[in-house]
Amino acid sequence: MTQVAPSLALARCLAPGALTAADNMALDDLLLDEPGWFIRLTRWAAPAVTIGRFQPWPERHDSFVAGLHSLHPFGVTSTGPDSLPTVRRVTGGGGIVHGQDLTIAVAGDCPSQTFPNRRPAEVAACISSILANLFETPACSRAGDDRESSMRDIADCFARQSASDVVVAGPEGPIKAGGIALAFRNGRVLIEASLRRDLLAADPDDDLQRLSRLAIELGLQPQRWEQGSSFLQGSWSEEIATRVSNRFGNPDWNRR
Amino acid sequence: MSEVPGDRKYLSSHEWAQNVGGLVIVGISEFAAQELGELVYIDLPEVGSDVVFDTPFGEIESVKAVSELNSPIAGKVIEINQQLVESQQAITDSPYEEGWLMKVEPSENSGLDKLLDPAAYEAQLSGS
Repeated sequence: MTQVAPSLALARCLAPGALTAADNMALDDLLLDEPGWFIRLTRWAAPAVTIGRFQPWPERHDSFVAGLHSLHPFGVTSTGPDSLPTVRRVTGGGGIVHGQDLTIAVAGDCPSQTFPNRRPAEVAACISSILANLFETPACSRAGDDRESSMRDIADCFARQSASDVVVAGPEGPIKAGGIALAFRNGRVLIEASLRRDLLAADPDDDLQRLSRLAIELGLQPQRWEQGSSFLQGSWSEEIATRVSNRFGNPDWNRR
Repeated sequence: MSEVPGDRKYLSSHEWAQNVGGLVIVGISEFAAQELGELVYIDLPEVGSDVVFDTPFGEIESVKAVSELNSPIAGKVIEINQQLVESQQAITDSPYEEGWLMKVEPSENSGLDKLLDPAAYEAQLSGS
């Protein structure tokens, strides 16, 4: 008797144009509330810093951002350090500089066939292992003891160590190639990931192919890529505007 | 198998409620505490604020993951566990005693009667 494989869940693949930091975070937050699976390529209108949901707002913002520069392994931007917009994420973890990284988001049901258990460490280990496959050089999930809590005050993502890191072999030991942060809400999970682009293949046109591969490795069936801004019109546009106004674009919410 | 005390009731999202002399103590189950792993931050409501049954009242962060906490009771927050603001270890070590989250004065339609009894919650855990 022939066994029929369970049908794969469809994943909407979204690649909007470059958005502001607040719009980007509001869209991710919306994807956490929308039904279905989403794979998203995040593009930045300008270099930006995102900080974790509960990370303390830096008391001296200029030195915080300057710290990001000195810690960041591949020189972020020529923009002055005090002009980097900083916005809070809904996911946990610490600060991440965006602009030259590959930023992606995955949102979907949890528990589900893809993530059978909603235990954060298990979901993190699963997605981290799959993200490692996006690198051409051998990469893996760091695994082992979680040290994130003791390092949450360190500004830059790539200077912290966590069990969920994606690491590649370097001449002087493992190099952190990617980090993730998660949020769980109403039976769903949002995963935001930042990967070092300098350790990925050079052609940025490969991004969509990489993310389609990611969807397949998550056990999802990627739909055709929706690019531009058409899917951001209508109710999504209103939702994003509301979330920016109330939270991600609101200095009081970001700095609390 | 996680411990499920028989002297309280449960929300399917793993929060518990215990009625003690008219006040309802709220926490998360041992199963939930184990699932979350190492905790690094908790955000609890302000004393005097209202909480709504089966609706988020706070958030908790572990392993770079933020999870919402749903209230198993509707009413007014009378007290929060201040000890948890500094360290969340009590939630992991003693989720049913020292790791309680808040005390609530229940409203008239508090939702307490809609919660799972210990046997039903245990059955849910067996199936998860």
